[in-house]
Amino acid sequence: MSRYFIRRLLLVVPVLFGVSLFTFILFFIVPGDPVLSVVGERASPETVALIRAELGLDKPLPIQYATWVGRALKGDLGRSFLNRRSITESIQARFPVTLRLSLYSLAIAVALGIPAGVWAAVHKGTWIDAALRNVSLIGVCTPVIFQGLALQYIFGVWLGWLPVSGIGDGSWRHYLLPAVVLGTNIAAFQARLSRAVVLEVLDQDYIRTARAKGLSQRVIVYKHALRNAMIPIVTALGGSLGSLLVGSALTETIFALPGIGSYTLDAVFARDLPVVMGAFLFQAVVFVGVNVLLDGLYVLIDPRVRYD
Amino acid sequence: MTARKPSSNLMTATETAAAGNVYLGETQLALAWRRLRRDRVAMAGLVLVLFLSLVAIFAPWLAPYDPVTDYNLRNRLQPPSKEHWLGTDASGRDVFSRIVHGARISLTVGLTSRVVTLVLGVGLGALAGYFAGTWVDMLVMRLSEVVDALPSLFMAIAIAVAIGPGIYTVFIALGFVGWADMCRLIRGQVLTIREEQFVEAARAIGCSTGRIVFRHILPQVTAPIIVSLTMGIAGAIMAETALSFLGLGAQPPTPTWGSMMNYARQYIYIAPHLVFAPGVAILITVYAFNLLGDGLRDALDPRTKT
Repeated sequence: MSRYFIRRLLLVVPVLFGVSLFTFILFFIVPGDPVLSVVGERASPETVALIRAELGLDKPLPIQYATWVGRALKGDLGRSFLNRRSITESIQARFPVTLRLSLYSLAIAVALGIPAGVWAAVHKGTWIDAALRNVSLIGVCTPVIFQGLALQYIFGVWLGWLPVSGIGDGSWRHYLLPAVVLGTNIAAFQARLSRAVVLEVLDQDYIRTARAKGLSQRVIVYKHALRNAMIPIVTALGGSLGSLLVGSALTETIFALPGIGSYTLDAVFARDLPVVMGAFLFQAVVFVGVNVLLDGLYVLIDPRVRYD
Repeated sequence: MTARKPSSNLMTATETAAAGNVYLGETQLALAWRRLRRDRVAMAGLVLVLFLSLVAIFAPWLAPYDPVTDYNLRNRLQPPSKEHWLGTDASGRDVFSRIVHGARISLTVGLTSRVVTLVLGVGLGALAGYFAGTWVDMLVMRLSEVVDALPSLFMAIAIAVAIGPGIYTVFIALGFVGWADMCRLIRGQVLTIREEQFVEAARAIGCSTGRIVFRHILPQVTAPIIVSLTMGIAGAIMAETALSFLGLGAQPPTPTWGSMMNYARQYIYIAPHLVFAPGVAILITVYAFNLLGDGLRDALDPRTKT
């Protein structure tokens, strides 16, 4: 068990190395000088040279890269080109926003998606199933941008019930609309998946045995079928959590939430290379970390899974 | 390793025959088509996809106005009317005409970026699968893990910013992002199939590796490729919208659904139809491809009862 996780963690190292190298290379093949895009085209050559030396950009690329990796390992992701703020501190300040949004979204997804999927599976072939399938397919097909703008219009502008953007005093009301956008999207996907998985499980022999024993439908579905169906469902939820925690660029941008997603996006547009690299590395760590943790979770929900 | 469900939507010829599903004299494709035709929902998806393709192809003839040059600032931000079915935008251009022309971009991007994905994913996946266990496999798999460790939208955005906005950027960025899934799918299938007897037989009569991979193994994985392609188009259309929304796609005044929503944002208080028109267009298109994809998955799966 622990040996498996040690090996799993060791395999993460080359991936993170690849991610950092990828971002580094990507932004050095970009035409145009990152310094010029910061100080403006009309800065004097002396100023440019000075800033370049200050940022360490005058050194050869491999050395720049090595310096960056060395600092990153100590938790120092460097400073922004644009405003000289510490990237590690910015991420620390912004991650809670993304975390809260993720948890609210996930709660909405679990509360809507799984029951809808199970309900549809149990009523397979009826109008309930057909209706739920259509609603969830529409949910899967609705672009986040459109849903975000539509909700802003309906609840913010038309009805005037909820704030349209920003986090204001940080109350849940500011998180509700973006969480609904992300949550319903995941819920739609969850519903489709849960339905398929539960149907597959309900088709198995041990369920027939349970029925033959005369157990009630409720006991069969909730005690027997659902437990086995949980494994793929939890896998998918974990995947969703991973992508939520790295921040949703679109949703955070539309609702002007200062999270990790909008932070990364702004940096990409501003060509703020240190921020982009830091944010990408942070996202990769979170994403891969969630997946490693999930592998551990399987052992808890499924005693058949053993790692050795 | 991880408790992932094996993707087993493909069976070997022997297994299919054993399941009693083979109709003599009928190819697998004809069989799948017969199944698909009976699936009313999937056929609705197919009809919708064909309809949207026709709209895209004949856009210049279908649109009542030119999407770019027919502007009229005196007639801007009008609600839907008899002259302008979906109203006019901030420059007084006909929204309906722009939506019709936008279908061209969306469908082209969907198809082209998936072709890029297909070439990369199938090529690398087949390579890794056939040479499983060697350094080639190792390299390809590590590469796909790196691609997977980054959220795909961020990566597409980063690539798009790096090579500059534009329609070709979208093809490359989206094509490059999706290949890892396809690669793993193909690798897994090839790994199973390469142990089959007919591959051994091909090797025994002296077929070259290239011939074995392309003529003997790859035709066996057409079904998952077709399904993944159809679903992928839907995903790519959504992603194109996102890139255009962020200003990284085709540049104005080219009409794309994403950029239309982007510009509509600031007028959401006075002209909400500008947001809803492209939004519903995307929704319908993605919905159609998903219906078709779901149906194709069932039709191409030999386990489905005929």
